[in-house]
Amino acid sequence: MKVEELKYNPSHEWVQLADINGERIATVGITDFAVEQLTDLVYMALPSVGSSVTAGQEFGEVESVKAVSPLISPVDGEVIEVHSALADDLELLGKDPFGQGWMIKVKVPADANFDSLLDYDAYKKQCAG
Amino acid sequence: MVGFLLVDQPRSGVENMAIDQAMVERAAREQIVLARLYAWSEPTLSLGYFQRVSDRKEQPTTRGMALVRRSTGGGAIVHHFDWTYSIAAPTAALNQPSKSIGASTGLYDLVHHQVVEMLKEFNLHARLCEETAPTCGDCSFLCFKRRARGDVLIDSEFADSETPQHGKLRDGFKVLGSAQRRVAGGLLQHGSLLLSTSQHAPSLPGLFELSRGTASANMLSSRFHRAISTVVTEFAGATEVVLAIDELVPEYDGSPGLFGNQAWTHRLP
Repeated sequence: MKVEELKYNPSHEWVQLADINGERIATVGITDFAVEQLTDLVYMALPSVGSSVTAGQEFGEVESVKAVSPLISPVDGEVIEVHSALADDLELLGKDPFGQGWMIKVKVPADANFDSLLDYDAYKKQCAG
Repeated sequence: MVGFLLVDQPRSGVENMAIDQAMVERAAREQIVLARLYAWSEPTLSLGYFQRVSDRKEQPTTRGMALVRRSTGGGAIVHHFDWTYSIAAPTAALNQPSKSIGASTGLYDLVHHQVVEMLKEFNLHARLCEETAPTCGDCSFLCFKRRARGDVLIDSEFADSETPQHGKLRDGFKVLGSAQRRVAGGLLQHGSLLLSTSQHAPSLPGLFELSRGTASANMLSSRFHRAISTVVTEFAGATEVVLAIDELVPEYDGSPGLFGNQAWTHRLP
C-alpha cells in the first residue's frame, strides 16, 4: 500500500478506496503520525460487521495511557469486515499502521464523493503544522 | 478566549459526569475554557471507560459503593476523601493544531506541575512520575496503584513505619492522577487529588496521612483552587469565577444523560 495513494481525514484516519467485484470498498486505519501521538495504546473498540458508519462521525475509540480518543470515519457506508484481532494485538498498529493495522472495511455508495478528504501532501503539511 | 471556573457543591457521580460532559460540549461549541472543582455527595467508585465491572472483585472494599463509568480512560477511582477537578477546552486552545488525537500533554503537564508546586508549599516531597509502568496483575484496577508519566507522587517513609497497612508502593505514593477524553473540537481532562485514606481503599494514603496531618483539606482547598485557576488563565488568558452551575453550563438541566443508563455503566460487564 502506497501512502501517497491514500486519502486522509484531518483527524488522522487513512482510507484506501478500491473497486472489488463491482463494489467500492474502503479500507480504513489510522496513520503512523496518529500512532506516534497516541503512544502506549491500551484499548480499542471497533464497530460490528453490518453496522453503518458516517463520514465525520465516530466509528470507534482508542485509549492510550492518558486519553480516550474517537476514531472518525472518512466515509459513509456499511461495515463489511472488522479487523477484530487488532484489539488484542495493538502492536500491529505501531509495526504496520498502513497494512496489518487496518481497522475496518466499508462498502461505500457508488456515487460517494471524497473531495473533503486530504491527499498525502495536504495531510503531511497538516502534520507538520 | 474566556475561561470560567466554578467551585461546585458535592454531587452524585452521575451528576458529576453529566456536567463534565456538558462542559466539554460547550467548550468545543463556544470556544471557551471551563473548569470545575468538585466533591462527591456519597462514596463513589468511578470506572475508567474501558474497565470491566467484574474487575471490581479485585477491590472488594469497594463493594456497596455507588458506581459510575467515566468517559475518560485509566483506572478506577474511589471518590470518598478526594477533590476532583475538570477542565474542558476547545482543541484550538491546546496549541496543537496538527494534533487531534491522543493526550494533550500540555494541559496534563501544566495541571500536574501546578499541583506539585502547591504540595511543596506544604513541605511534601512531591514530584512527577518520570516513566509509565506496565500495569500489573492485581494492582492495576485502581488508578492510584498505577504509575504513568506525569502522575503526581509523594516520597514518604511515613507509611512504612507508622501505617503498615498502606504497604510500600514502589516509586512513591500517587496523590493525583488525571485522564482525558477527546470529542469533536474539544478535550475534557479531569483528575482526582487524594486527600485522605478511605476505608474503601485502605492501602492508599492521602495527603493528610502523608503529611502526618499537617496538610488538611481546608488548608489545601484555597491553594488547589488557585492552581486550577492558574491553568485556566494559561489557556484562556483570564479566569472568571462563576458561582452557579447554570453559569458554567446553562444547557445542563439535571438530566443524567447516558451516565445514568445502566447499559452505559455495564457496557463492559
